[in-house]
Amino acid sequence: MPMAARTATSAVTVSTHTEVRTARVELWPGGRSSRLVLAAGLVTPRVVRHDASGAEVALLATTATLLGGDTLRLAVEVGPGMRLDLRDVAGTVAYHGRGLGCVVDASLRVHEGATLAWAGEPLVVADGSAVTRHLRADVDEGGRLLLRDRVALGRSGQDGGRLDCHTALRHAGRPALVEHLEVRAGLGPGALGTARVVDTLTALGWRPDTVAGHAAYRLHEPGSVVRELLDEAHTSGLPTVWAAWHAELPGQPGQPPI
Amino acid sequence: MLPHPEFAAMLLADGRLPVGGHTQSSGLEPALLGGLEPRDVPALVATRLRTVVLVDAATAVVARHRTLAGLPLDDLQLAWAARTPSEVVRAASIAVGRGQRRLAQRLWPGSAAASALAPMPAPARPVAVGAMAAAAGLDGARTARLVAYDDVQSLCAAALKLCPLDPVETTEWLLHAGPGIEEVVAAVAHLTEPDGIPAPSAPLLEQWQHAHPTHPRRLFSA
Repeated sequence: MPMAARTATSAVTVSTHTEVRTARVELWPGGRSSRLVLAAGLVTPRVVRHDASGAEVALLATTATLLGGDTLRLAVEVGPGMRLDLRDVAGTVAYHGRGLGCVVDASLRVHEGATLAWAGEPLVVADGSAVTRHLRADVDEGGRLLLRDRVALGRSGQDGGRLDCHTALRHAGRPALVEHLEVRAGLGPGALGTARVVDTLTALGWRPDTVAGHAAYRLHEPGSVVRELLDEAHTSGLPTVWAAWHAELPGQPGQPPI
Repeated sequence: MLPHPEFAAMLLADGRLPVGGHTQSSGLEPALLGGLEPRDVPALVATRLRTVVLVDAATAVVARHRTLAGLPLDDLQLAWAARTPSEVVRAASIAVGRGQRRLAQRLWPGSAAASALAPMPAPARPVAVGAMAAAAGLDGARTARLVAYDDVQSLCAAALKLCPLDPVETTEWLLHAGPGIEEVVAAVAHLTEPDGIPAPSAPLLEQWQHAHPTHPRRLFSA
């Protein structure tokens, strides 16, 4: 299995608290077999499957993330024509920060004709945590991104902490979706209502078919968003939409590209 | 010759301006159909000012700046659209934007606003309002205040048709929204770049508004 782990020296920065190392997953075309570039940070990529045209990689938390002062950085890049399926092994809990906030910073790049599907597990903001999350994605013309993103307020019985999600998705160099989603208790009517969980599925780079019973926002760029506001994460209907939209992606896992 | 800025602001803030504003409830009818209690309407106004109104006011301020600078408004419209994911919400805004564009071209022909809007048959409401604010001589702060005031005013006027209320009460809501409106003004009046437009979302407002066309009986288009 051609797998090169490397330390991302250029991206190493030092915060007041801990060394920040960027976890990386890159998949590039390379002759007869594709080439994976992996690096560990606060999460460690583990290869589940890897063949000529694609790979499936799981992200595994190797420490007790997220603590106050932590910065979790992740950079994902899918080279032209490649397909990467990414999944989280488990949800992430942001614990009480003892006065310190933490940062989650993910950058996704999907090149021409490439596909990235990321089945994200919930990010749970426990009492006393303050999380700032940046999620950026650049999808080139002909590329496709499918992203499930779940955030939850509090562990069971808690009011929960504070979460600010800054999302900026671009398609073919144009802004497709820009959002600052605030998640905390006590926001006014019209924000989250009684919901504790915001479950969002975003397709970018194509306009997936609508799934009956699941209203989708049609972005001005080719792409759609379905979002559910839930009291309980397990009641989500998004697995149905994920299955339908995932089936529309080119080059199913384990198969050669079309 | 430019009108006095106070006069211009009053003219453009008038709810009777012929731009189709009477078809809009600033999301109130969708919210009530979605289950909002009438007693929570003032709190709904606060949520709007913090989120969607902030986006629209910022968009209008940047539109005003770019119009005066002779810059195209296409990138700005894209920046606004990326912050407005529901096609239903975008369409409602554009319906009023068309009316604003028509009015700007009639009131200020040959102006930078008329030229900036000429190649844009379907401008978003704040894009058209911002361009018109440039023609009318409003500064950035007055432009932001106009957009925020108009949103709350539309909601208050719609409330009288949707809930049994004394009109004095909705006028009181409008007055009490003043400090929140000034917070919007302070946050956005200086903006010049599309990328600098804030993007706070109100997920439930968005869901309610997106579902609005599916309701069989409604008085307002948005």
